[in-house]
Amino acid sequence: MIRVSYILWLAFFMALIIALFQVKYTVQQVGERRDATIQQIDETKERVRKLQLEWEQLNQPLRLTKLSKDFLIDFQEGVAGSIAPVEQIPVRPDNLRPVAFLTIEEPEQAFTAEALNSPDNLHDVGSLRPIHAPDLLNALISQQNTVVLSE
Amino acid sequence: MTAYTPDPSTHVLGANLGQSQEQIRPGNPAKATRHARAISSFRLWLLGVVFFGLFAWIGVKIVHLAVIAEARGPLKVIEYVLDGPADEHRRSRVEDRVGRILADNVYRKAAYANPSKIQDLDSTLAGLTEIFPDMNISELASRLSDRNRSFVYVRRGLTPQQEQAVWNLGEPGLNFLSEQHRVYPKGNLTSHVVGYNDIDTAGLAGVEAYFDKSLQQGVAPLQLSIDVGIQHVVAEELAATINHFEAPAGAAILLDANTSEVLSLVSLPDFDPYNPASQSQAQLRNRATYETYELGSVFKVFTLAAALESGAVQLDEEIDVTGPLQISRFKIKDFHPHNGKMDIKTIMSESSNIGAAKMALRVGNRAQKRFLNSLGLLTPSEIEVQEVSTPRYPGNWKKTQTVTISYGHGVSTSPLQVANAFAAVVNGGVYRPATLVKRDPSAPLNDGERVISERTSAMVRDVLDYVVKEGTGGNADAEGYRVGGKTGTADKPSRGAYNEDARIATFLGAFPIDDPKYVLLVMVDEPIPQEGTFGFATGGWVAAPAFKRIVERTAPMLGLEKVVPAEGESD
Repeated sequence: MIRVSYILWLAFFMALIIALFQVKYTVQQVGERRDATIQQIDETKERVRKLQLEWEQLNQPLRLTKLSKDFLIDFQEGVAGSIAPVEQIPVRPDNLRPVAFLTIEEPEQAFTAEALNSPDNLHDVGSLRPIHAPDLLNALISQQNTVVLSE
Repeated sequence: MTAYTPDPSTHVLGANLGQSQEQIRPGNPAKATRHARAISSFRLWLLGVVFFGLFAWIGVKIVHLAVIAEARGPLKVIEYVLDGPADEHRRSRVEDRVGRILADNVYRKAAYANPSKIQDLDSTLAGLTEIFPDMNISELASRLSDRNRSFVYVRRGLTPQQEQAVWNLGEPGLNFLSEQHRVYPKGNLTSHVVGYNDIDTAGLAGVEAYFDKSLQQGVAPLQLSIDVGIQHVVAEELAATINHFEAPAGAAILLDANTSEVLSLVSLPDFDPYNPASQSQAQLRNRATYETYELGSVFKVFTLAAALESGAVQLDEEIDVTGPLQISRFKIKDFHPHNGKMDIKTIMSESSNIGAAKMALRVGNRAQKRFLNSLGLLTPSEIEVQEVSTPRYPGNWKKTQTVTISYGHGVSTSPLQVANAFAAVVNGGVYRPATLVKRDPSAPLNDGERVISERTSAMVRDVLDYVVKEGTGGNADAEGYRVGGKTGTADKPSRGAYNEDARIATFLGAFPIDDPKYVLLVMVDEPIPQEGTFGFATGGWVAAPAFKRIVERTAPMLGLEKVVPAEGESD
């Protein structure tokens, strides 16, 4: 009986020792991974920092002004009247309110009767009323993929 | 086999076994054996318990770390890496009020040599010449030839390509180290505010110098009150005005009228913060905070405020402005002479020196000095830049000085101080020192120091509104916004006299004038009269139009609504 208990104890302690060594080496590995991760994070943070600075450099107001003049036609600075309380902004008249988008993925199919009648091509954004493709035929003459409809 | 005789002195645990010495007698071996076995067994169990306890503790700790602590969140070390703390070795970032970066540090490589380890000096020098064509190679050669040295900088601030090229030389005597490098993404635009550093990133000018110690500690970013967008508009308009009037310099300041936060501080010409050593003194001079000027008639606002506050003058009264006014050996004249009486509003709108002088004489020299001092005009500004100077004013402040100071000659202060004082006069009468540091908008505003009553402040605003509507400030009347202000044109002092050909043209105003949110000062140094201004180079012709354009462009950015004119009022 005593021998059995000794063996059990021995096995128990051996198991504990193995587990402890296992944990120790796992911890070492985790530590190494952690160090590598920390280094990677530091490097990434430094890269992010440099990218932020590059972004700031690219967003110099003088440069943006020049780009705006060159590429944003009719884009103007805010003027007196650009800022107003929400309640002063006039409501869009109902007859100008968009009620649906018609989107046709393949332009070459746009003008076939099948495409126009396919419900898959219609996306009612406001659910204000059902859309019937034949009603949109005139709008499609503009040959745009997406047409905003007004009531 | 001898009988076992336990020695009580060696049985440390004997007493705990509950056995007396009488029970273990010689001649009773069975008992002695049982006793010894009991002791051994007890020791073994005790050892087992200790080991078990230790291992159990380790097991519990492992389970705790792996399961419970993990469930609570990431380990502290991960938090440390991901969220900070601040890099104590990295100089803090400087940001504008919305978080745009004005200055920050990045690590860049520097190449250095250990001359004692260089294998082939000639080929090394040849390689370095190819990589750095601008390098003074003969000087480097002499330093690298000194084998007693162990460290010689080859080049600092390498690009990645240069670093790779030096590496490719394969010279064991060449090596690299990481160094911090200060970057100013907004360049010249904020140079007079941010300042600059030396090559070891120690602050030498601007907020970089003022906050040098705290920035070196690498704490949280320093957030300034400056708004880069506003700064750009102000700088652009000031530069356009300076160019148009062929002026050598100018300054403009936009302040929050209530908090005294500086939203824009421009001094032109500005400088390249990466290369301050190569810039001229004119570029490095901060005309908004360091240079002091006699700003002329804008001082009449302070004269008016002192006169109204002291009760020396009533807003509805009239003063005789018939000139010239003889004070001691000086004759005071007006730019627009008028014989007879003039009401206070017209005195201000016509910018009458005689009217201002008579108001100041009623206030008295002591009260005038005390009042200007309360506005911070006689002591150095508390603004957080290195470049601050002490105002100059007469040591002997008598009647003559009272008169000249009433219309802006005799006290020489920085434009920032004048704008700061003006904010106190129009914001309801509370002086708060100008600051370049963004205040916490949720924190209560400090009490400041009351310098005039709200009633006096309202009267001054009423007069300033009139000056723009009907007087010399007409060119500052911004489209869609109600502005009020005062022009100033001052001859510059030169060799003990005033030079009539060298002027300072200023416009100082607030908007919206009925409830001032912002104060703007525009100053142009020595503008030259142009054809379009009918030969004038006064504050009204030079600075007021710039003021108008700046207000029209910045007011929408600042979220100010357009003023709808009341019925019967012209827009």
